[in-house]
Amino acid sequence: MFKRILPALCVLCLVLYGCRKPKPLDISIPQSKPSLVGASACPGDRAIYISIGYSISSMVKLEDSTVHPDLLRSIMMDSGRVTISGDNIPERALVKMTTGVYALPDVPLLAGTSYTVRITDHKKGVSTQATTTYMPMPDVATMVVEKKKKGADTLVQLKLSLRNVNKGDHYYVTYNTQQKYKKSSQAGAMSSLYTFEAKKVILYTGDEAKNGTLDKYIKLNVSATDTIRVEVAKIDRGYYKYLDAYIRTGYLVNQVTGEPINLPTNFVNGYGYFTLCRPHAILQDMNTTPVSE
Amino acid sequence: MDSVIIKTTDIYMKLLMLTILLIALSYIAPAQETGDTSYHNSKGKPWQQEMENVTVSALSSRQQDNLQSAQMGKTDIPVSMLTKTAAIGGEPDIIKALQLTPGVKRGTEGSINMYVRGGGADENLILLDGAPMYNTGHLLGFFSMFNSAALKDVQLYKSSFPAMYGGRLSSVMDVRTRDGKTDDFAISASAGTIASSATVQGPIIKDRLSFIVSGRRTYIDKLYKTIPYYFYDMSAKTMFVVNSENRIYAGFFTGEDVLKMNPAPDDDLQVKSTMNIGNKIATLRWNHTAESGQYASDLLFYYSGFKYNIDGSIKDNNLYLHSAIKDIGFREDLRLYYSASHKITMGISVANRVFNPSIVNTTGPLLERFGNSHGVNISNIETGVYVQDEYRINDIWQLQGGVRFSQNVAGKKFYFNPEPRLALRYLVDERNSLKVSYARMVQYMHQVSGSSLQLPTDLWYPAGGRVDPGVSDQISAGYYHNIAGAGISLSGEVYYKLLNNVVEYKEGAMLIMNHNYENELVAGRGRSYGIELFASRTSGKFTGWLGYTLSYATRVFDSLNMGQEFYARYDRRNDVSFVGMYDITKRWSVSSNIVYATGAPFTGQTGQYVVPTPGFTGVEVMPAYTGRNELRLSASFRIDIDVQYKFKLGEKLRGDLHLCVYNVMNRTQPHTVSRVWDDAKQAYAYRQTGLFGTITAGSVNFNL
Repeated sequence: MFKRILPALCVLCLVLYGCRKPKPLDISIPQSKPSLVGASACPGDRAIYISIGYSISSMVKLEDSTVHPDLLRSIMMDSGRVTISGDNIPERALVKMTTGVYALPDVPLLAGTSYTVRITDHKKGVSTQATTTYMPMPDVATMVVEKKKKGADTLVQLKLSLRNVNKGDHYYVTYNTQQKYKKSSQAGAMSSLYTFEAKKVILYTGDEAKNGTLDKYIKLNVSATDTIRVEVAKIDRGYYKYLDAYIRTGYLVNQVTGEPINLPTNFVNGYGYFTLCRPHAILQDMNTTPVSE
Repeated sequence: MDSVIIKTTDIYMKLLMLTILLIALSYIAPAQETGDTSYHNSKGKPWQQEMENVTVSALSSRQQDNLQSAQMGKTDIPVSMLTKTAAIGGEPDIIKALQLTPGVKRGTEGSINMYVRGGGADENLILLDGAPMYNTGHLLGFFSMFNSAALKDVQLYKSSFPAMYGGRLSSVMDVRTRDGKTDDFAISASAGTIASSATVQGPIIKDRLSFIVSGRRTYIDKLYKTIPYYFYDMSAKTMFVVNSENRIYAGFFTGEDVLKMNPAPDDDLQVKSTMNIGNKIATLRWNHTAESGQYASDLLFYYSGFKYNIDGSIKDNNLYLHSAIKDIGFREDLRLYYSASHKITMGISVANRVFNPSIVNTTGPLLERFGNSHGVNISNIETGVYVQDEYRINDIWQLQGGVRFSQNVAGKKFYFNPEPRLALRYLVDERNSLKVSYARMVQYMHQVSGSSLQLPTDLWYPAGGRVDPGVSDQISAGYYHNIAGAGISLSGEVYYKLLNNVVEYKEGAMLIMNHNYENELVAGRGRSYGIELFASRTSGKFTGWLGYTLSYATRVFDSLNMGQEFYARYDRRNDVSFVGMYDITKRWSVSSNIVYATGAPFTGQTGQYVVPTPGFTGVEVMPAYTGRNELRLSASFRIDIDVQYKFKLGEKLRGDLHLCVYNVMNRTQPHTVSRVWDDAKQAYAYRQTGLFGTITAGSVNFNL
């Protein structure tokens, strides 16, 4: 009798045993040595700010609110030498403002001139440098945020008009709101690649201009009752390509379907981008902005 | 544009005259016994009779042909063997069986994509009774559209392509369906875990007019209402024997995947989705064989269409996507056997294609930013004229030389490409031969997919815009040996292939609902080389094959990976496949696959860093990666087993039961790498996941 039921038992065992999900396999990915990461800004007439940090292992959690502020401070350069030089200025050292942030308040930047920043961390024995061209403030004819009625919704858009735009020029527009800024400034909370939200950066080239004027209406994905800051800047081609890659890759769907790529950089053996451009910015309270039909 | 129109008209007129001439030539010689001239062995005997008699003498004939003809790079395993291999879900699949032969790499685990000798998945010309097929997979490519019950023969060419084939760079898979029986009716049916199928065939007019109809459908949607998905395919064919010299075949195929998801009553988002992806193919063929056997002609008209529609909505947001390709064409092939030394084949082909890469309609606050696109109809006309001679120089040397001239008109662009084909065989003795070959192939359309996913919704794009036709040049050499008395064939081939104008998406390409995909494409070069060893036995109690491939496949694009050469996604250094089938008794038999492959290359994350957002309104974490495809997944290893029990019910009804276990070892076949948080270590770890573990399935087949 056993022989008769044996085949059926085997089948039953196989069916019960079958259709399992296997355990994932571990894999070790060699992590690269820490490299210098730089970013820069020219908020005022003659000031330059440069932030310098390090890349770290991808095994560390950095991107959510559980990250301790001390961890963020530990990846910023604490002591090092940062200098800037250019065709019209000798090499000058920047002053450390706080951990990872170096500045010079009075640098005579000339439009179209190349400047090189050199960074050396003596403790860790790493150094890097980057060169960029200074871009002056764009010639803004109009830059105002408008509210328009669209059915039951209120559309928020930026009316932008730039003058003296040449072929080969490059521009970016970026914006943020008070509510979003408050969210992102919480300790450890940083925007992440893993979001459906598109980057709030729009790029234009001089090829889109007509008779030297670039006129655009840009729909802004913001609340109609918030305070908004909008900035436009003229940038060089290298930074334009950096921002183009930043927009394309920093998007959830592309992270899943596309090939992972590194953002371009002009730091030698480093990350980030050194750019010198003076933006034109406006701050506007949407509550006091009238709604047009 | 006017010059292009003139050139097109001129080509059409010349081709029409040539077609008439070829058909007229086929009537010159006296009549001989009829046969399907699609395949002839080197002795000029028709294949059809041999195909339907799966005996030791027929199988040996394949092996003899493999040794003696100048053709190389050809996988010619009987369909009956291919469908006996253990398969996922117990569903026989000829493409998955071919993936177990040397030189054919698998893509995603379980998928039917083929990467042949370093070529992409879109570089394979798949023909169903002579008509091209643009989508060969069900269920996102996990099952092929070929119902094995309807198939008569499958031949895969990896190199040394006969001049009659063109249009793809890396392989040609020529699939032929059965002709209906002319003498008696037959019914077969099968019921399996995944799908059930039935085939009915028989004479409408005995010995003159026959039919065969096959259908297959999944039924998971009937068993589980929560899974609103099914696929089906159906093929029908009639054969009319006009007289001893002429036969007419008419065939039809349709296959579709359908997903209909309706919102649940308590679903706040009211998610609704309908998806249809499908093929339709129709063929009409006239075969004329002169009674002397010295001439044979095939005139084929076909229609092949592929389309997908996706219609979805979430609350007030609606999305509609549509893409299609239609191909209407004809071809005339003429075979001339004037002497024992020369077998000349010549012919023409014309294909008129219309591509509609994407129509997008979106409404609603979430989706309207993707915009709308009415789609653009892009047409291209591809023609080919070829001639080839199999010249038996003497008992030792045989030369197969030919050329195919292909032309393509797409928009304002006109392409003309000669594609030389050359193969030489040296017969060492009756058991050993050496061969060398060279072939150039040109491809006038590309299918582009995102790098990490390959979906049936990937787009076919004709050359002529930003991207020129792809070109491949392949040289190969091989040694062939038959072991006397054992029915075993051995072969070893080396190859080197150069590819030009291969296509990829640019870095950071916007893949979703982009109205201008062409702007996202970049062209580059590729090369692949390797060695393939193959041993097969196709008759006896124990049959099967053992294959080993050592191969390299790389790509170079100026704008990708900073212009550095990188490994292709399907570069699997070592690939070993063993397929064995053993008849234990008259009733019991077992088959097994043992498969090993070096891990696929991937781009890994080696660090991360923090940068301010543009405008310094926040900070972001950015990943740092290796160069493209610099790292390797772990090797994949898998054992599948299929046990078969044959039985009889009464006098006429025969059946067999199958129990199939896929991935007996339940080992992960690495597919992706993901970063997961390990609470114990308070750090991330990298884990490789696969798609399937052990899958046990059963099926029962009946034949009447």
